[in-house]
Amino acid sequence: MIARAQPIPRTLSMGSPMRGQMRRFLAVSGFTLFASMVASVFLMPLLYMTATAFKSETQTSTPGAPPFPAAAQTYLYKGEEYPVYQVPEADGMHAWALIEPHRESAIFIDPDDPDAGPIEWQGRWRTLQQSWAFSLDWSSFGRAWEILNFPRMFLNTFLIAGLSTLGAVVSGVCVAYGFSRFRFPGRNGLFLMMLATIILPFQVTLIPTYAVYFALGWVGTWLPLIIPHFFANAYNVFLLRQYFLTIPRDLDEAAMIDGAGPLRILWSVIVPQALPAIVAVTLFHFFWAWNEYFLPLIYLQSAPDLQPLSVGLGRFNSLYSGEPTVIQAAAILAMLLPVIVFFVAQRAFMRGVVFAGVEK
Amino acid sequence: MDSATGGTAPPLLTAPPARGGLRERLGGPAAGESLTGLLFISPWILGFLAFSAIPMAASLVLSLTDFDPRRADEIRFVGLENYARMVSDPALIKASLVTLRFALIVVPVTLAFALGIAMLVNSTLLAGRNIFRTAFYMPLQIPIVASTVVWIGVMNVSNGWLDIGLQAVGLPAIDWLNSPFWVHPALALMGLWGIGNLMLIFLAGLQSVPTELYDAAKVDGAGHWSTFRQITLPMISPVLFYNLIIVLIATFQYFTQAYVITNGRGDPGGETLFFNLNLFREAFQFYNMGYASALAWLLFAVVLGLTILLFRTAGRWVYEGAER
Amino acid sequence: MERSQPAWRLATAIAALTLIVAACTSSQSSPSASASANGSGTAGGPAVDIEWYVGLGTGTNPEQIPVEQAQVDTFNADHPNIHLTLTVVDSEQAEQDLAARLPTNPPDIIGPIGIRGLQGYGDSLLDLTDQIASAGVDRSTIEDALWDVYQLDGKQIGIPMAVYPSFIYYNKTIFDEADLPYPPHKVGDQYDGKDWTWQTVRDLAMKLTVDANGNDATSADFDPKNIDIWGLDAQFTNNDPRAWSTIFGGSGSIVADDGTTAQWPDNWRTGLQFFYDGMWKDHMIPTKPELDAIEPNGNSFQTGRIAMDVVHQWYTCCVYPADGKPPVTDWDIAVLPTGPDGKITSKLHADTVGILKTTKNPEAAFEVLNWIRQNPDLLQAWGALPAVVAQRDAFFAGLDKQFAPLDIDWNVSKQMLGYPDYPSHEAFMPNFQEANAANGEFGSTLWTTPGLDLGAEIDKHVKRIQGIFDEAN
Repeated sequence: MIARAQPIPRTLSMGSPMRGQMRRFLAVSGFTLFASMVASVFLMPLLYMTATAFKSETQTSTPGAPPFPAAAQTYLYKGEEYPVYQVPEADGMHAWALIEPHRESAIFIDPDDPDAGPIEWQGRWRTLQQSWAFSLDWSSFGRAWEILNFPRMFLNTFLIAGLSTLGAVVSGVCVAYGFSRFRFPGRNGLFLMMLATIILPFQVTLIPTYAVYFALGWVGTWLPLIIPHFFANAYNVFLLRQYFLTIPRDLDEAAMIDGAGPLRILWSVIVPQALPAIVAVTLFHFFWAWNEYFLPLIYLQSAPDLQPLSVGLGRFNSLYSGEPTVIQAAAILAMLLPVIVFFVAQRAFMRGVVFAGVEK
Repeated sequence: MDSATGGTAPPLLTAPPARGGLRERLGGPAAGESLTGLLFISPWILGFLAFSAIPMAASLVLSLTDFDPRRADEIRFVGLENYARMVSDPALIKASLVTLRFALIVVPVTLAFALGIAMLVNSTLLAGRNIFRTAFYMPLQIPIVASTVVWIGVMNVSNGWLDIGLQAVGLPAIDWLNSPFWVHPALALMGLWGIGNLMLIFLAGLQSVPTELYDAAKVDGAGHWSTFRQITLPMISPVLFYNLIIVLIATFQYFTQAYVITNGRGDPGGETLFFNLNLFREAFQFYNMGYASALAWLLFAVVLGLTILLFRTAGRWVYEGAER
Repeated sequence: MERSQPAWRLATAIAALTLIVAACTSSQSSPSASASANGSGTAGGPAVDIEWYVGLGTGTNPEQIPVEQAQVDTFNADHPNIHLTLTVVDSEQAEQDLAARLPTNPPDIIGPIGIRGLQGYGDSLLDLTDQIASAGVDRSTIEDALWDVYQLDGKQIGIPMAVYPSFIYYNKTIFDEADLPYPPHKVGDQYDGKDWTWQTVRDLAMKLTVDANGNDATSADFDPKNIDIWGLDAQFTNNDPRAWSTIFGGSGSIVADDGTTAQWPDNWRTGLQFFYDGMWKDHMIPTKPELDAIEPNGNSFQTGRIAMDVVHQWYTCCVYPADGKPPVTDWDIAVLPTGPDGKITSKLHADTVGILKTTKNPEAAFEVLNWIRQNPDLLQAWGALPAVVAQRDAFFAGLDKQFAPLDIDWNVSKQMLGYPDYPSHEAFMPNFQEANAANGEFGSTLWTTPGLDLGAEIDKHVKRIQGIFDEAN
């Protein structure tokens, strides 16, 4: 029934099935390899981010430290930890701990033979190789979890994003349906006016907008972050309208002849046809709301218990103390759920939505 | 089995089909149609009146005043003074040029890249499409606070991974964010990283291309390029149009990344003093909120004009099967 | 354009009305916005709401917020007649956020706020003269010069709360490795037989600067592309050329005595040249890209890769990362050297808290202000040396406890307090915000661009600043 799957190449039926499968296999692996290369370049910064989150604060500032999360090999000597270096000597390479560095000399201790006492070494220790071993430092995640009151903020974020998405999608579908399927006076003008709301930079409407919400008594609550989305926004309506326009009217009209009203047509004809677009709108509104920073900051500053994760993350951005590893760890924690949601939801784009009422 | 576009022959390898549905052929709109339509868009009208109309009108009025948020009680009406001032504001001229130049690169490059990736992850030749789609979408889910730090790190001239990579293939290291020449390409790269939504929308568009069109093209012996030009592109033109408008608006309002990367200073050499960053400085650093409002309405007029222009041309290249 | 058309007047009135109506309706509903009371206020009469806004200066670090909240809770427990709420806003967003709130929903108290911040909000602050008198604040407990900092057009808009002299934080481990003696802790002391001047500092810093091969910056083999340790930095000055010129050149002003002419005094030129050459020629001071590589937030001393760092007293808030093993464990502080003008100059920062004019409860707000400025826990969390002279020893004792087992020589700080920059490097300029932004752009250029003819660049910049000054008249 579903006409989605790519047509089987005609050549396949001519050659032997084995050869056809082989060719397909080669094509798939070649293509996938190419995509992997593109993706790995594309995701390099993400890898950097993850690596940073798992590094110790010490590693990020040590010159010559490896790019992957690693711990410097150390040796505990008289209650102090000292870094271990590879020291070339006449009798080969030694792994010695540096206990007192100087510019042209250094004092080492041999971890295998600490009783032999300090070894005076002539040369520049900075040119020596330090011993690093791959090691994941989880402490940044612990700290992020602790400072942010993670479960609470996570729940706040989830509720704010979830509720506003619900409103945005339901209202967006209705309004887009109105704009794409009905003729009424001033339709184009109204549509343009809707677009106009996103063309005017928000910086200049910020103060009056705040005044409006404040007058409504909504400051310090979630309402400014949720309620307006129940009244449709231009981004969603515009996209859905574009998509609805590609759905042939024959379907509506067939349903209409069967006696279906506009709501029923919307529900049983338009929505199933436009599922990919609706899923797209749902996803990007949800993720937008999940990461939105400035509006929650403004409206929820007096109510720390109601703040979402994005506002909490801003705390690591403070004036005089940089904690790059904690910022990245917190960010990774914050994006876990969105990534899972996306992974699951994008199946909607695989299922093959029948377009154009091919099936009757 | 009916064809995709409900007309006679499928619009294979032809221009988008002529408009007009059953109803138009039968005559004018039904009596209740206007009312039903208005009813469906009424949520937006209500929301607009409740939440957008007052702030927008207020900002228009403020653009005729010398409003300073710190001295709201001393607000004074200045007529068109703010608009007159624009003519001789060097920062505005610089900001406009920077924004235009940036838009000329970024809009086409971003759209092409997003479409390319969408086609990549839509291909049946790709194994593990779920994973690839998630991967290409993921950067958009990184909180801005973190992604900025990531890019500052990745693009560092002495130990950034991007520069290490360049040097590994024998190219010179680039001081991306501190060079007036490279900062635009750098910001464009960062922008490409966030194509997730565009990709998703293209993906939704690609899903709507009826497979039988491709089958038929194959029968006709059409190559990849002509299939793309004559089937894919026309069929996804509605979402392409959407993406074009959205990217255009976003580029003219380009702000956040420029703001965080340079702390809102417009470094290096004023090359990141985008229109909206300049506006932000006037509004929240110099507290010339009246002038900033006027700037906003200038931008508004320009972008709205462009949008209307695009809508005008849309009839020629955007396939709108059900439009009338 | 004084004679406005009636229609326009009407429109302006509508806009103003929108804001005012919003402000009025909200004043009735505002208590509900901050209804998450902490138990206090229910007893006795109705408690007065006071909102304290933190974000324009220090006070937003993750480890400072709990201290502030705990003190606010204590205050509420002790003062049933006042309900104090704390609002902490990310400092990067605070200016925009506050601007959005000011017309309709302003907080009562803002701070800590520095000298530069006052240029932005000074006009909006309440004159405290009468309250200072009626509350019996003893003016003599604080130096006169500090009171003057918060005088604006004859109004006293703040009680001096904290002062932050600057001095040199130095990393002893780096000195030990280079086998070099530590810098002097006393004004007048020599270093290694030489007078303690910026020239001496330069020679020392170049010896301390070392590349990955162990060559220092004086060596012909020195590799400026692979620097491990830099001898000197002035962290958190970002791109402020007035700050750089003051540190390395001594006190000066961008405004000539007539109040309208732009200038860059000779000692500032010398100082800026020192800094510029230090980055691009001597390689002893990290450049912007180099700093980004080691610590994008600018806290370079904490990386352990800076030998000497000129920073203010407030840096004691954040020398150590809040958690984890600090890269810098053994450090101390040293006095600043004599500058090209023949004087020692310790760039001074100062903080206060102010009350916005719009407050509905000036009395209660003043009570809170008076409490904040003397609260030892808050001051210590902010690294804030008390403006009240008598409280300073207790403050340093608290720091000693915090940094034990290190024994930091706080006498350095006390001495440096005697050499403030006057006029301040953050002092008034005509058309302040725009001149400040132009200074920032100039600073950024120096910070990121090698090979400039600095003298010519300064001349160009002064011309530009003059244009900005002229706009103000």
